[in-house]
Amino acid sequence: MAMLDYETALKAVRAGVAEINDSRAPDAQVSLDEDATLFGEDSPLDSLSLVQVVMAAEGYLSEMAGIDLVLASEAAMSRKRSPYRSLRNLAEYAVEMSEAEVTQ
Amino acid sequence: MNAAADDRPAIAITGTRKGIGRFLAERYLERGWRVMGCSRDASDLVHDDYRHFELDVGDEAAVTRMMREVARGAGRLDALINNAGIASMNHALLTPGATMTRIFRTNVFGSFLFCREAAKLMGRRKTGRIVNFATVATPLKLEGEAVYAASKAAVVSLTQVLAYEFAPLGVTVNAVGPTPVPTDLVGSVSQDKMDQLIARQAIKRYGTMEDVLNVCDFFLRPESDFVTGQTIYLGGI
Repeated sequence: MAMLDYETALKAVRAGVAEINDSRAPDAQVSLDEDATLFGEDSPLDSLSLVQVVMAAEGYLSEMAGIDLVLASEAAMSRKRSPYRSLRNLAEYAVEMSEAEVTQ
Repeated sequence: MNAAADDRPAIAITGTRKGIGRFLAERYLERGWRVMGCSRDASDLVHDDYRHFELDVGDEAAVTRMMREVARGAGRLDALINNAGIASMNHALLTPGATMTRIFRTNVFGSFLFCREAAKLMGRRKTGRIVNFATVATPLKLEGEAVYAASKAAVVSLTQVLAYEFAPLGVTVNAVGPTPVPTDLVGSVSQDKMDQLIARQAIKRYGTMEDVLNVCDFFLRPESDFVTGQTIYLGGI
């Protein structure tokens, strides 16, 4: 599997958020800012919407970089520091997962 | 396989090398669907709109790769038919643990992995149809098929729970429970046993592949978007 760089990962995560925004009301749009909250008390997303963002990001990673990762997983959900906290954290997690795949 | 811009419907069918899976693949191809199939071995099904993947349906990474390839190649996924399945006819006292592992890996883990990955693709378009394969061996509580029947009971349970989990994504999940259809799957079972089994059906005949297709067609119809979590057993069980 090819190496994934942070910028590509962030682009895929942003595309995932944008896709979910398409079906959200104008006053419920999720910011595309790197540090916008995806998960946690301040998150505008319910749990299903969060999963949809992560799933869409998986799809965009596959389309943009040809990299097939499972980012929506129990292992990720149960981490002490959630990799879904922000767009940045999710992109960093994708890079981490791709590095783990390469070294396996 | 045609390009992603193609707006004809796309369906993934597991276990398409032979038997019911092969039959379903051919029928949907005839109707103009794009079909993505898989099996452990290569397929001799040749068609411009058919793509075959050689994989073990219980291999998580392989299933994920296939479904991402489906997304890249077809650009969409309208339906999944989780047909791949294996059986074992044996008394429980003679059944090794390895057999149970093998059967659950294909029938339960495989179905689950395909459901999960298919729902990811379907959910992005807010529509999709999943059909799993149950069996009459479960409600008939067939002796000698403890492991097979239990694995398919798990598939029914998955179908019911996934119906709830995937409903917000616009994806329905149902199951068809065929009676014995003359395929390799029932080839090892004695005629006497088959006759006894068929005698317990309301309609006493072997099932046909067309019977299975008919139920799949019903679940796949656009008008069936309010039908989910159901298992339809053939033959009147």
